[in-house]
Amino acid sequence: MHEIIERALKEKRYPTEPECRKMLEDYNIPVLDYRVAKSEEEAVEAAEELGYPVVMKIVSSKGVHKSDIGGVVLDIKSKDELINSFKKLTSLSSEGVLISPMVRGIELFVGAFQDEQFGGVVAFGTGGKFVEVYKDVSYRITPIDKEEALRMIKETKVYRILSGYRDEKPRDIEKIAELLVNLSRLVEENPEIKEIDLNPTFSLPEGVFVADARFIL
Amino acid sequence: MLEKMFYPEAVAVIGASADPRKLGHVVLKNIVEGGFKGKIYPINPKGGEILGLKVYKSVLEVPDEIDLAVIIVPAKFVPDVMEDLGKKGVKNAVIITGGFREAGNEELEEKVVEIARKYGIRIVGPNCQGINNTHHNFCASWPLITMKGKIAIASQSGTVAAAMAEWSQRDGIGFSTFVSLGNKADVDEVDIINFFSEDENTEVIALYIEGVRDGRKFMEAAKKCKKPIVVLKPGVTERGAKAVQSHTKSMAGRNEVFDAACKQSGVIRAENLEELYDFAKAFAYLKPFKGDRILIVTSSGGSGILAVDVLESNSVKVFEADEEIKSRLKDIVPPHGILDNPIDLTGDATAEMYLEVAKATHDLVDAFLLIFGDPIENAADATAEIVKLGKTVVVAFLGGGDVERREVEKMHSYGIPVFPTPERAAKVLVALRRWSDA
Repeated sequence: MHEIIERALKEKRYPTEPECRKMLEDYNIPVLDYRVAKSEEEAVEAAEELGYPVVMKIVSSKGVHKSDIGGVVLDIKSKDELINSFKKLTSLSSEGVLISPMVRGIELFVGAFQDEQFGGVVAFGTGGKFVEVYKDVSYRITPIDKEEALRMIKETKVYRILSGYRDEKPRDIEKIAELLVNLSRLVEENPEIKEIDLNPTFSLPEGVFVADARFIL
Repeated sequence: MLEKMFYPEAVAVIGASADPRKLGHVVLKNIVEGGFKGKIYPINPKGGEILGLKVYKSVLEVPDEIDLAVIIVPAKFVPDVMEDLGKKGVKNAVIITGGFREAGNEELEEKVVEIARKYGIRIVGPNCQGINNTHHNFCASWPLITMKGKIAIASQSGTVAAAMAEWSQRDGIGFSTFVSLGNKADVDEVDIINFFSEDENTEVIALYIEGVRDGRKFMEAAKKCKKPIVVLKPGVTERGAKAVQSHTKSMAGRNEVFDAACKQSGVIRAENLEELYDFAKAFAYLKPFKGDRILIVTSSGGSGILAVDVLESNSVKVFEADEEIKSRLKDIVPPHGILDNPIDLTGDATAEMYLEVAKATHDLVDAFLLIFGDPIENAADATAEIVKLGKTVVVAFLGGGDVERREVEKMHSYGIPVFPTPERAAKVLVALRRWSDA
């Protein structure tokens, strides 16, 4: 069991997004660059380091759907907007905010959960807000190797887009497969995590990056 | 371990009845009339004689060893019967009786299982339709079917298993063993896979299960099994999953997860009862194939198109006939026929034309789909010759009246499965193709 999970369990809370991201990094799962800010000054400094536009989200250990409660502000273009958003978000949660670059790419859904009958399961497909509507998701029981991960990716509709579609350049499918294999290892080694949501995960021309992480224990 | 469950030498029928309307009579009668060669001990406290057999008041009175007890007494008496079996040293029981978990009596079922564990007794059921091993002439079930075949059928629904058995008889292909699993209190899908993967009379395992007890063990058993396993698992919709709960108290689980498990362990998943039967029938006789070159030869243009649509919409590409194929076939296909894929021989088609086409092209294709869409005489003998060419051959026969009935019967007697529609035959091709990838 990873120490982050151990600590969260002991403190009877869910891991915060920065904790989830640290854990993903420990399993070689690439996450989008980010900073955590507790004060306005820290937030401004972080945004300048990352470069505008940025995304700002609340940090919470309650496992909430951040966007459902208005805890996510996208496409912040200036210092003024940033300070306003900081005030708004810190009124929702006192645990600080997470700031990350605003990127545009192919939105993927990457997830995992513990199934009552089969144990660990990883999932991959079309991401974004409407993941439940499109239902373009394929599943595999863990552990999986790279070949199985590739088969899983090829089952989805989004694979066609990832292979190069209209103005979208072909993406490195191998990297996505590696991400899924690493996630499978994380799931196998941490069965205490009931559910993992990495939505969205962005496929950019330079690679694949997790842009949001939520673990339910 | 389950050898004596499915191949018993001595069997007790507990709750045997002289009343022909009762299951306790029907089952005993089917064992007798099915030609069982082992010893049969009817058990009933009333004693006497049924069907010319001496009735014992209890298994404890039977002087010899008993391998298997078939139990058809009311649910409340089953625990006592199990105790007797334990004392007698009987190691296998088929509990046909219902009124356990499925009727809300979880405790009674648990009690029975507990007694079984204490004495090391294995249980099929309860709440089931028994077992029938045709190769052992042992029908402890109903209806009485004795035709021997290669398909092992195990089902949580008695009717599903019986329907499969009847279809296999009607087709003249039979089955190896029929197991009605009922509530699956003990013997489950994993035991079935493990046993029938080693059973010399079984070539394919067909399962109807409403839930999986241990997902990982199921996958492990399926991966180890060298024989094809076809599974129909309902409860795909939310409402269906709820119905599963009230039928056998199984956990339907998440459909997409079970689907993934099947893909990862080489299990062929049937979408409906028809497919469960078709795929089992196909895998019992046909070899899976690799490659994407399926040549469709038909006497009916429409039927050919129906097959193409099914193949293509299931990601099996139908290749276009190239110049090589066309030049080899130009003298075989009638002038008004269509020389592409499908090859349409039209209503003028003869069995010889099919054979000529196959002979001329078999080195260029991976599988044939032969559609006989007219009363084509000698189709069976021509198909048998085509099979000898060594490629996978799937046959659909329709619209052929009396000739069709005769030819299909003949093909089945040759061990060539025939499907009644082009779509069903095409689905079989999809399954055969996918299995070779798994």
